[in-house]
Amino acid sequence: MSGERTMRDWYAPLEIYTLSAWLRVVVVVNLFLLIFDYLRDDGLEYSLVGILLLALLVKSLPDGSKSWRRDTSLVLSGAIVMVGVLSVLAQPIGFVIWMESWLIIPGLISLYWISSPHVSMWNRELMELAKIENGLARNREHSAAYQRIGKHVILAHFAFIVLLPVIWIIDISLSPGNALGGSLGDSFTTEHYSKILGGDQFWIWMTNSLIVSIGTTIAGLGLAVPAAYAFSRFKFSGRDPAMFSFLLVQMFPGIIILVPYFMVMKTLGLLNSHLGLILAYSVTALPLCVWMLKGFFDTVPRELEEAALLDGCSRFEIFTRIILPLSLPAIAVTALFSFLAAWNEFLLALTFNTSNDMYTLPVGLASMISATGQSWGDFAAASMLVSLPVVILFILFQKFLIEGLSAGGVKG
Amino acid sequence: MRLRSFLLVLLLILPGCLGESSEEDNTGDDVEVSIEVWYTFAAETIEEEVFLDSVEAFMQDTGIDVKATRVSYGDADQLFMTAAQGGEAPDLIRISSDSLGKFGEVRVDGAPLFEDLRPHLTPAQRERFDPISLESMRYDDSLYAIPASFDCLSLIYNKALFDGMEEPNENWTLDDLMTAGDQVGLEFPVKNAYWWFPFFGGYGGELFDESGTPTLDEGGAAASLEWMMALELEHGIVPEGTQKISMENSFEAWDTGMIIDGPWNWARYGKGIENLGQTLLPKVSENGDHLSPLVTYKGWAVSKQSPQKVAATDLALYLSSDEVQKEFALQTYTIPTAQNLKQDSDILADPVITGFMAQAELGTPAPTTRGMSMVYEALAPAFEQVYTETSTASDALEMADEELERMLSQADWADEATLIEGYRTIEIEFEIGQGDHSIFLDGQLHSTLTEGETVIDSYTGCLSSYSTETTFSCPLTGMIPNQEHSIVVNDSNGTIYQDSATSSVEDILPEPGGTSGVLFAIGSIILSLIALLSYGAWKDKKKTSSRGAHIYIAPALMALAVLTFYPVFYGFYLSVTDANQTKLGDETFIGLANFVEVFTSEGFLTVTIFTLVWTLSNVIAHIAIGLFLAVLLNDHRLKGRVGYRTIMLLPWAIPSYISVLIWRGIFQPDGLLNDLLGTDLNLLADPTGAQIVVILVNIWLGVPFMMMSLSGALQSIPREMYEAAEVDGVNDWDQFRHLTLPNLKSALVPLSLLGFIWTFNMFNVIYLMTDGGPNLTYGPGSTDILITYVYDVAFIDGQYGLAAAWSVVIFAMLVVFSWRYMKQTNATEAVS
Repeated sequence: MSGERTMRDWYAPLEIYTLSAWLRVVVVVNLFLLIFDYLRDDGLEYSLVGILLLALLVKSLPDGSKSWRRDTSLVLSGAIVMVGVLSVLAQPIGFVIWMESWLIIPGLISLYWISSPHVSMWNRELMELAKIENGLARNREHSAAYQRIGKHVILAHFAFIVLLPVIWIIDISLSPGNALGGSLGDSFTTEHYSKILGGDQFWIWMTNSLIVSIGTTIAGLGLAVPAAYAFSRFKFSGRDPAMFSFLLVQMFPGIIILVPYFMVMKTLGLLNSHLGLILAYSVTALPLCVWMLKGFFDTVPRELEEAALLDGCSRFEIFTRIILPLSLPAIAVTALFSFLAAWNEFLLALTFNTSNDMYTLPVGLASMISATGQSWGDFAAASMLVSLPVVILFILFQKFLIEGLSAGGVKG
Repeated sequence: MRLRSFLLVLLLILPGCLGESSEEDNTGDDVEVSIEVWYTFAAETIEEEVFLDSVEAFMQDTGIDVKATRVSYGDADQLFMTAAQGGEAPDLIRISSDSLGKFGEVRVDGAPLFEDLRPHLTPAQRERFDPISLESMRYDDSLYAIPASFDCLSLIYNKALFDGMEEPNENWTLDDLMTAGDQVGLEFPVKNAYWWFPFFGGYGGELFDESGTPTLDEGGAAASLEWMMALELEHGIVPEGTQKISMENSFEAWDTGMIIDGPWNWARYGKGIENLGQTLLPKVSENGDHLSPLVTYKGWAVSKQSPQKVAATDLALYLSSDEVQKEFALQTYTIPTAQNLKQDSDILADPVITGFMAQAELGTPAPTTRGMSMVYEALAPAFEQVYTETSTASDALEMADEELERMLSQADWADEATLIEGYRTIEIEFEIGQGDHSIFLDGQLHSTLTEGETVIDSYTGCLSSYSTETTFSCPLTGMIPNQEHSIVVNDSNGTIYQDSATSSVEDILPEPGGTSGVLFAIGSIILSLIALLSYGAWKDKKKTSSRGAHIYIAPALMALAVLTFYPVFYGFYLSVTDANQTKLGDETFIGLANFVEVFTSEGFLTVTIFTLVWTLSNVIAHIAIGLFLAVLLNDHRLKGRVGYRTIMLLPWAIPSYISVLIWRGIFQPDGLLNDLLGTDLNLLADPTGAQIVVILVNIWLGVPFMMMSLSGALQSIPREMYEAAEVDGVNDWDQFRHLTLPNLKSALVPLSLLGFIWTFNMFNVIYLMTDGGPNLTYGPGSTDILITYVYDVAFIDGQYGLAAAWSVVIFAMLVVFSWRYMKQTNATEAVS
């Protein structure tokens, strides 16, 4: 009898667990949403009442014995839904629907769950032992699924924040005119895209950007891979100062040394050339590349190399035959980084390559902005065209990205 | 062995590089003249088309080869300065009269940026232009550009929205403007000083008195500012937070009936508004004077470094010739400066061009003084204070006036530029005859002398009084060196003087700073690096475990050294000199004075504190959110995790300059945020709001990198450990605290350090979002962090030495921090 008692005390349906955890999250979210109420200067009173009711609901969730708790919870849930609906009705339609759904949906779910037969029975202590055992099994079965739904809710919100500017810019790029405002999806045109793609300059810029970025990738790897290997495998004199010097150059503000940089490029005869930019970008990306690659090389077991050494392989053979193939993910990531660094850079490209047929995409697109202001439509279309190749690269490299970063980060 | 051969190869390559550059110096015989011109018309526009057609026509006519280079408008001035310092400036560039004050004091290797065009033009050529426009291209006595067009603000309205009401006309007063604005809407950016100048002028004020002393707080200044601000703050006629972009947008979208704008957007508005109207800015009710906008001129300037100044001047003259100006005017609504075009029937038939010409008649030409180039900087905080009602108009303007005087008194002044005596001039002397005289140069009218008039040619410094003297003696301008010219002087009776003369005085190009110093520096850096590496290799000779290591790192270290060590050393060197715009390349050592100035400057503490707030809140948020998402996405059974991850990666994949500009658009008063929330917030105008916004945007940008890096680190934690914990009944939170976090520590330490360094020196976000603003006080703005402030010190104030000192301070802060951080984390790792 006492065993049954303990089990009864110990058991609670999954719904109750989930509610007590998630309602707290909902309270926090609603507190956060108060900021928006404050900014909008509207609906503050509804939200405050809602939060109060939610807090009460958390405190009065059924505990499996007292029926007043269940009744109160039901009333509170209903009230929360009511407040949410009233609030929606009282304010102009729009953003408020999402805000209030943080009251309405949790309210509805608690209403549904608390009134469900399973919870009712548990609360009235009418459950048989077998049922409780069943319930425990059921809890185990569903808890992961419920958790995952919660994760989806969270991730969907993050995804929304990420996508918001992207959707907006796509909308602007497809809207006629060059204005900024206007609501989403009201009219459609491809004039901005055809304007940009129609100009022969765009393809020159694209070609330059591709040459420079691919060149940077190759040169960057050519410089970073041997250096990272040396830092990872050899204990040579001057190793630590050399490594620190890679980090040091990142700390000096780059803008102020633009003129001497320009002089270096001029001295080397590298102005208005692809090579100049390739070298500059490879060096910019070098510290991060070396750091990541070194981290990855560290994780490749030394035993492999020692065995190969015994078999008579030279250092170079070990490097090319063992280390490189094993480090492919890290090398892919490093390549992506170098590519990106070159693809997106503006200031150096602007300064070093002033000849129009040497412009890279960012500089070329900037030259499409007129003295009198921003043409948002053209700008948006151009942005999409510049971003697209990179986004595709990222998607293709995603798997490598994590693997390559994993070791690189861990052993930094 | 291999090392030695490698070094040998390097030593062989090096002298080759050194020898090469000396050949570049001879600029060739002028078999084919080739000049480069920079223009700032946007790509794929009518302006560009008209310009390129004109250049093409010039090449056909003269056989001179012209290379036209488009430079993005916002960057052109800075780019030109950089190029000039490297001796790579183009021959010709389009400049605006309001940047002359900035350029005027700049000296590169002792020479000004632009050629003084006075000796290049004949008086007849000068007379083709409106005298005010020519005057607006001068700094001190020098004539730095040939004017090609001008513009100013005027009242533009949409006739369709005035349905039945009286349309704006030149008799309107400000009261009429307000009444109409209440009904059809009126928009213009009240916080922008450029829009205040017309009001200031209308209320009888002037920016500077005759001696050049600023008078920003005199003559109706406060009244005009109050009236203008009240339109938005008190009467709500101008919508809250109106800016230039939102004004353009809402006029285009028929949301407002009247705006105050220049001719530059006419074509754009014309597309959507059939009945576009323009009229003079209204009168001030009290005194009956019209508002008086600032008139700015655009012209073509020849670089001081150009070896082809004669050809470049010819092109400049061609680009501002009557035909080209007319073409520009009719096609693109740029207002011409040519005297002849004032009577041209095609021009007179265009109501827009004549309308703006009439408006400019009432305007004030922008002074081309040093003070003018500083006015905006002095006024911005004052306007911000009045706008936020932290100060009254008269107090704020008094403050601005004092600040401008202070800036002027502290500014460095360059030596006045001098002309090369005899270059492009030939001295003639003749007995004065009867009536008017005409001087012909190679059959073309050079100049005329009118009877009874005193000829004071301030352009050439030649002074002669026709009425009192009997001989005329003057150097004639516009001569081409080493070319024989025929000079004929006619009086009313016929030829009284005839000569053919040649001037052999040639142009003297400024001594370029020379690349030999740079070459020497790079050479010594390479050699010492090779020495260091060889020493290291020699020391490790006996250690078989590290044989060849130095060869592996040599290429990377070499590239790093050649490309970045010299610039960084140069930055250090600049920090102990008095380098500034007025003496580029001629700086002298001044010890630690710059550092003293950095540490005693008022802004030092505020900007450092905000930099720390910015950096810490970003790094913490990046790691916290990144880790949170990484943990969520680490669940293998989660459906769609690849999709989520791809979406989360977008902020990283989209180039940051694009996404930052998008975010700026979102936070604009007419942007998406207000659209979505149904609010009318202007967060970027509020100091705290702007600080929060820039931090949020940078968090958005930085989370994906941390998320991905931490995802990688999470995956390398063995799953068995979690399974074991699961069996032991450890709950999720405890698993995270006691299992995940400790295992992530080795990844978190370097990541947070890198994140710290990157965020500390993150320039793009703040520069593009707010440019450090809003500026309620002088010195750093509310959202300025160290690096954006250094940029202002260097490129707005032109204080290179001081900016370098700030950079060294930033560098030192980061080095100390990283070193401490690494020590700290290493120490704790050793203990645990």
